Amino acid sequence: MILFEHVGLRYGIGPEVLSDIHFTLEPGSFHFLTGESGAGKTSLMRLLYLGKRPTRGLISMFGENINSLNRNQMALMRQKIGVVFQDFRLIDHLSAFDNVALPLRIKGINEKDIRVNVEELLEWVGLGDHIRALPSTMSGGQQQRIAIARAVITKPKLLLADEPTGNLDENIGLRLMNLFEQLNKMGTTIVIATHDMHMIEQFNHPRLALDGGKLEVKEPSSWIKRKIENVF
Amino acid sequence: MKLYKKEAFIGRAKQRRFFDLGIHNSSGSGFLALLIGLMTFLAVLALATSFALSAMAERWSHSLSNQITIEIPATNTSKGILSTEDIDNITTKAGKILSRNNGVESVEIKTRKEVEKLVEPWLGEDLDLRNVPLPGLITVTLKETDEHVITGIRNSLKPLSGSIRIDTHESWLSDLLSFTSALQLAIFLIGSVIGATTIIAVAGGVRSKLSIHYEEVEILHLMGAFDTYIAKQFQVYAFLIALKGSVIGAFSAAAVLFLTALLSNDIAVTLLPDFELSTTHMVFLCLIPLMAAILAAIAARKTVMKDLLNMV
Repeated sequence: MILFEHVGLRYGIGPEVLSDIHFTLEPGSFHFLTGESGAGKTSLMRLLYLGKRPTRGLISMFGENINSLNRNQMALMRQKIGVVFQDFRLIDHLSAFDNVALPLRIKGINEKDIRVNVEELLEWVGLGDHIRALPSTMSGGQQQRIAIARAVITKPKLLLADEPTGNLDENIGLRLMNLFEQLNKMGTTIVIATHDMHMIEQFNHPRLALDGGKLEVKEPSSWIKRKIENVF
Repeated sequence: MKLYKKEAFIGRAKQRRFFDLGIHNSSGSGFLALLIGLMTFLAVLALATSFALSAMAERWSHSLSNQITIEIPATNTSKGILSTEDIDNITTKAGKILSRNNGVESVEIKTRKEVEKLVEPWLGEDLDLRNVPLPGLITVTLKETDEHVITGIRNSLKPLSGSIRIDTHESWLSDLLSFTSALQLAIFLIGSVIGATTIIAVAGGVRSKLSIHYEEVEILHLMGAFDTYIAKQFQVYAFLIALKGSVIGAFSAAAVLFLTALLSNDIAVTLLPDFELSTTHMVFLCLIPLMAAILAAIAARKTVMKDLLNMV
């Protein structure tokens, strides 16, 4: 379970970009994170993938208060989280294979297993023919699929994705969303930050709606209901 | 390798990655290798000099231990300048007296030719020394250096000539050993400065690499890499760069030492013993590149581990 209690975040001495954030993500839940530009989506994602510590409040992940974790415990905690960044953040000098294999190597998995798993996943995301390709030679969509493969290769407990289908054609986008759904069914908690209303409608999951640094959890039924009301 | 056979276009990775981070690709590696090479070059020269000095001092000390030199001066306070025959006569008598002394192991009377050879470096080869009054010299090896034995020798030789001198070499040897010790200390300090410079250079180089590859390091962190995992990348990088630079530096220094040895063989150095290095010293010098690489790896690891603490 992931628990945020009265969490606030500020950068330096600036104003709070997130204030009094309070929500719970049950294990195996699926949420969309929505909000206008500047609403604090990236900051909230940063807190979720433990790229920052909150300036106030409590964050508890998988039963551990992250404020009390030391560096090594934080690293172990991060190994349970998969992240798809909006700008992919692939390592330029590594091939597609090595980029996807990176989380497994960090976890100390043996090379034989890495080879089997990575190859299989790259085939699945449609990049079986680009195993040795460097990211710089790939299209935005291909890079995004590498980033997604890298995030899911370890079958994380929590998967965070920032606009994961933004650069993909509809067919591949759907396949990847189905992959997220499958992972979710296997128990992975998923949070996807997106502006894609079509996707939100298609996959009927609750939303974490951010507005001006404040968060509101919206259940799908109420949200759909209001959408319907807005339409009529 | 099933994996990599499918690719056939520009921009593919040539082999399995050695470093997760692109630290070996970015600029600055050549400069660091060059700097470490220069430091190793200086360290090898300094250490070789230190070892040679130490060996020389030991040989000097060993060759002069338990030895005294008896000098029968060519001038006498009562008779003025002595003739060659007189000097030879006194020297022979002194030799006989010394041979009878229980504390004496052996006696070696220097011939006039040997004495001429000894003064040659100061007077030159061309000078005709036949009419020059030269002192008589006797090298005496004692069973052990004992002040009583030396006093006994002094007393037994007094009746032959009041101006006979006994040189125990002690003060000369002591000055020489102090001088070589001071030189070794200076070389040790130079070595320490070289070591410190190498550490600072590696730390600076690594810090710069860390800054260039900050985003990649952050990604590894976010994937759950331990600080030690990230530090290991820099550690291996620093080890390889330092090994490359230091092997080149050590070979260059070896070439210089070899040339110096060749040149010094050509020059007749009669005042100093041979400049030699033992096998142990040679092995130690050969290990310097490895030690430089290990030092660089440790410096890299410490620097990275410290700097990573600034990240979340």
